[in-house]
Amino acid sequence: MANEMGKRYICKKCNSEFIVTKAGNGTLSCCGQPMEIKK
Amino acid sequence: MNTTDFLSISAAICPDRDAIVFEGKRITYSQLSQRANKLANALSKLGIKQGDRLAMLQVNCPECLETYFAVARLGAIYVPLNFRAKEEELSYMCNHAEAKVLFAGKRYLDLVRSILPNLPSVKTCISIDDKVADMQLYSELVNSAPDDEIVADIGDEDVTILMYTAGTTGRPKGVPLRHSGFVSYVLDNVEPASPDMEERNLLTVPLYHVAGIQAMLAAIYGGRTLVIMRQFEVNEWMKAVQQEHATRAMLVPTMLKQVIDNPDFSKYDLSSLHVITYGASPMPFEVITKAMKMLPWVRFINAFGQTETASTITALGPEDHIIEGTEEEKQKKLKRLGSSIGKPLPDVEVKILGENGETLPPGEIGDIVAKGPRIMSGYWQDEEKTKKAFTPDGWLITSDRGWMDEDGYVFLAGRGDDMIIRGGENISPEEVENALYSHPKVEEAAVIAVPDSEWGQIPKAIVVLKKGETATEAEIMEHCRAKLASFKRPRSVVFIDELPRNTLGKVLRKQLRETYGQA
Repeated sequence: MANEMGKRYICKKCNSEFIVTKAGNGTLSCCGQPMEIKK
Repeated sequence: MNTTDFLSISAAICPDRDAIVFEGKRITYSQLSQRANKLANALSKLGIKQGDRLAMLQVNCPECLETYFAVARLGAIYVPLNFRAKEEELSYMCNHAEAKVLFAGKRYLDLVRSILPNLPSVKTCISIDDKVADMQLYSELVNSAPDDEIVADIGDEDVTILMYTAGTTGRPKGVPLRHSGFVSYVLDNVEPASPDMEERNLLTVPLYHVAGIQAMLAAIYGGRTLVIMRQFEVNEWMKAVQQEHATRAMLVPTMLKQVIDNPDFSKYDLSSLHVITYGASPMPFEVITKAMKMLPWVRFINAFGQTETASTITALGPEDHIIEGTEEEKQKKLKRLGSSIGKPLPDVEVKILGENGETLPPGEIGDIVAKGPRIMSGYWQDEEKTKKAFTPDGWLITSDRGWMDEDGYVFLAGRGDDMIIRGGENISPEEVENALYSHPKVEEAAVIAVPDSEWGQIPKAIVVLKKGETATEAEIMEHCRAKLASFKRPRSVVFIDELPRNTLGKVLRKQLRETYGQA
């Protein structure tokens, strides 16, 4: 699952947030699980 | 994270979006970032190092933003100077900051030349607009350098801006503002840049003021387009809202009053505006209620803060501007609209202290004090003033007086040194001014203390009447008699044409006291 430019991703386990400033094909993960787009 | 990341993030997310619109010129996020890098490289070549101070004397313009980010990327400190300041005050600020570089706009070149012999720390002067023999030209400097990004080792707690306070009550004080102060505020209150959402922020507040810097940094992090005006002019402001479809603006009360009282108000399409933030001086109840009626689609926010707090510390939010509910709730909300600055933001603690440093219960007037990670740790190289600014246990004394209601809303009751003490009773000038503003013939009013042999001090009203109106002193005093407790009503009235104000619209009470402060 690719990540999307400008979206905020959140780790549902530790609540860390990431902003994507350059999109790529990888899946962002944290605490051993994929991160989700913050709604 | 530091404030330079705000620009880097937005330049990555929305590189082609306009970051700045200024007098027909448009600069995208990518261009702003590149130009800041070029200037940073040029300044580095001039010998500027981390921690050096660089001063700016110019009205709002794109170069102010480019210079801020260039200076910040070098880990140096930006010193925005009040462009209305006179020679002596400017010299004081430059020397106190030990500025190495002084940037100056066209209209300030002669002023800079006149004070330069007294500024031993300034090694380089940079002319922003015109090529002149004795200074470096801004555009040549920018064009001469590469746009490689400089990555300085910037700590979150490093100082990014040295800002001098307005000085309405004395000599300006240097307030060091840290990256962390702005980052904490912006991350808590602003959505980051998004490729899907475009907002346009109309900036008229000067960038030497903390409210201007806060609005600028919030806009850059939010990927918003900053529509910059050199200075506020009411018709130009409405025209800019219409032309650029501005969605947000910050206004001081006098500016908002000019907008809603303008005969051409209905000729402009202001429907794009959805947020107006106001602050910097007390908002007359009549002005905000009229504005809410005339701009019913706008969400109003009253933001309160000062340079020492790095930005907003309390806010009266949009929900507080909706007068709905039971009659009791409506009355409560109307009262808050009249003089409350809202509730403390989540990362700030605010309380009211009594004369002996005790925390006062709701309803009692005392000193408003604040604590939190954004509050300054002290004035720049001034231990004595720093000591006076804090309580022994580290609360910042804001110099504003006020009280808190049972729900935690803070109400202003005047600056500590503006308070009128009549026979031991404190009289808040704002309360008397509100009574004066409710008189149909009064355009503006300010109340000061004058000495009185019997009472120590008594209130005196300085009144500006609406155009074409006439009124007598007795008429104004009679109106106040009906509105105020007897001891609070003014004992004399002076009519003048215009109240003296600083650039932010704050009434210069010190000046009024000097001119009209005799009994």
